[in-house]
Amino acid sequence: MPPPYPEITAPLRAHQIEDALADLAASFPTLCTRTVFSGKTAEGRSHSYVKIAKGSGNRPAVLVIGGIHGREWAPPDALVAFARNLLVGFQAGADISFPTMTVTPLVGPVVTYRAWTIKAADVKAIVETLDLYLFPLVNPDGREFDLTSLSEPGWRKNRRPQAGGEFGVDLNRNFNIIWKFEDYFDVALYNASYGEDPASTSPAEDTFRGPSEHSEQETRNVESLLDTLPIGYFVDVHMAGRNVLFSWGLEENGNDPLMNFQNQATFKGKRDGLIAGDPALPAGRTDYKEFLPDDLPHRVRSRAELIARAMHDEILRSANGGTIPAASTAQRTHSEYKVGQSAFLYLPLAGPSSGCADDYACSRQFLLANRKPIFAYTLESGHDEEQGFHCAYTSPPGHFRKINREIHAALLGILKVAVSARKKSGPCLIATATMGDPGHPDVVFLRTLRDQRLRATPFGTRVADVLDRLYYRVSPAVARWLDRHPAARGAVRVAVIRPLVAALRRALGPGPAGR
Amino acid sequence: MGLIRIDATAEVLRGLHDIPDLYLVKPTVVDLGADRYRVSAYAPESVIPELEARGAEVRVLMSTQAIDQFHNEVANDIAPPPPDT
Repeated sequence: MPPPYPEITAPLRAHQIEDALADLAASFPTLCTRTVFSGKTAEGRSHSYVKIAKGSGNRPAVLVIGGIHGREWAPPDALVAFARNLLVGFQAGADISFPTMTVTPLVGPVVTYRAWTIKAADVKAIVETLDLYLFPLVNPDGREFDLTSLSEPGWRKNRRPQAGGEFGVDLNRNFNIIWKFEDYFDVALYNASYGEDPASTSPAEDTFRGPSEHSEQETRNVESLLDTLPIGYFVDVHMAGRNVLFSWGLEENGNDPLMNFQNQATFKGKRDGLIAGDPALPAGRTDYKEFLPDDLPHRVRSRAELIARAMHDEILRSANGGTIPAASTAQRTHSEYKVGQSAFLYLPLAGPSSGCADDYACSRQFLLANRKPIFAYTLESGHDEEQGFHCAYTSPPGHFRKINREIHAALLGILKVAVSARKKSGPCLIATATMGDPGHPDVVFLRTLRDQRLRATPFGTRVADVLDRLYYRVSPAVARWLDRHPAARGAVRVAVIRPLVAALRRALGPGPAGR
Repeated sequence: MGLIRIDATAEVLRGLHDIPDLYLVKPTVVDLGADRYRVSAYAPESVIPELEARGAEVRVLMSTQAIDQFHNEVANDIAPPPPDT
């Protein structure tokens, strides 16, 4: 089916999603390539992903997956729509437009949302700067079963037969990251706090982790992409709950490198699974926190949250024509996503989980050479007031349309970060002239601060761009003048650069050393 | 099953695991302050008296009947299976 594509008005069947991806690859052969996984699902279905990119070379790579849980209707459809919109928008050089819409939540009055657009310039930057991999439907068997059995709360797992006549594995407990949770957690302590384990060992349960780590073809498909592609950004789109979750989901983020998922010699069976300050932690016991580095240049821990907030802000902008709605408005109330670390966003009902896709993605930066940094997210789209897992596509009106817009917005938020992270400013002319060496530690520190830290978010990038424009208007002349006046150079070094760098180092940490 | 919204204390919510046929949608949990939390769940209406007896406030978002009607409508809207199945 060539474009224009019709609005999606019912959840797509698995074969429709495959057909849609094949069609995109055929319709946009220079921009979109489709790869079919060699392994088939338990019910014999093929599935595939697409790469959207114009150009080649060493580019930031982003992987977005959906449909890992069969019953979560909106994400696969929204990812198909996102791929279509990007490709059509890029080829036409046009904005992606979302018209004014009204949505009828299950609770409260109808809400009107203003028109919103993804600018053609952003579409162009995404397609020309990034390698974007979209894998809309990880679990086609589970989706088909859910769509043909139509019950609540729906079908979460895949459909591979299990012991005892049961069916299915929760793919999002099957990844090879602390899969065997009893080797990692103090299970008694964990269970006393949450009333259950991080995953289930029973095939009858919804969160059954499977007979072994990455036992499922669907899991291995996602793992293969994360292992072989240079993915720097990962989003697993789910529903429902309006949450943006950043890694880790294994435990609270910490700064002790010894506390890491690979250190079984010290911490086997000792991870408490409790948030800092939880009175359930036995007296005298050190609170385990999973290491996530926050050192320059990548600032993984800090930037993980900054990027999540960029996704959150873009969702809010999409609810109000491009500007964040005021706190008291209905648009804000019905579009507010919680941002938090995966491990503890669902307190008091749930704590850390094992075997999840986002944590597997995050772990690659510790296990694979040259893969740092990786920023991994789970987006829980939709809400109970939009019918939970089974959102309405037509009546009541607007549920899928709204969720679809929010998924577009969240992805725009992270993709703009990925685009801007590639962008670099020019050299620090004044600092270089003053210190006499572009590799001087203070110059490297300032340059890294600007290129890595400030440009970590779209807002920071805009600030950096404005500062760049101002700076490069005057700095070449100032640098040339400093070159000719050694005394002034020394004065600027002592009175400006060194105190500035010292203050920034105190506030932000030491950063890289330079040469 | 219907779709319901439950408001309760942390202690009450954590104790709901033992109610058969109650499926809590954990990602929907919201902190309302003063040790009150809200979470959505799927459950038959017959569970509601037990929830209320434990101190939870319950609001029905979609009744079982409304969900059944929705399923019937969706069944008509979704595409047929591919021809070779």
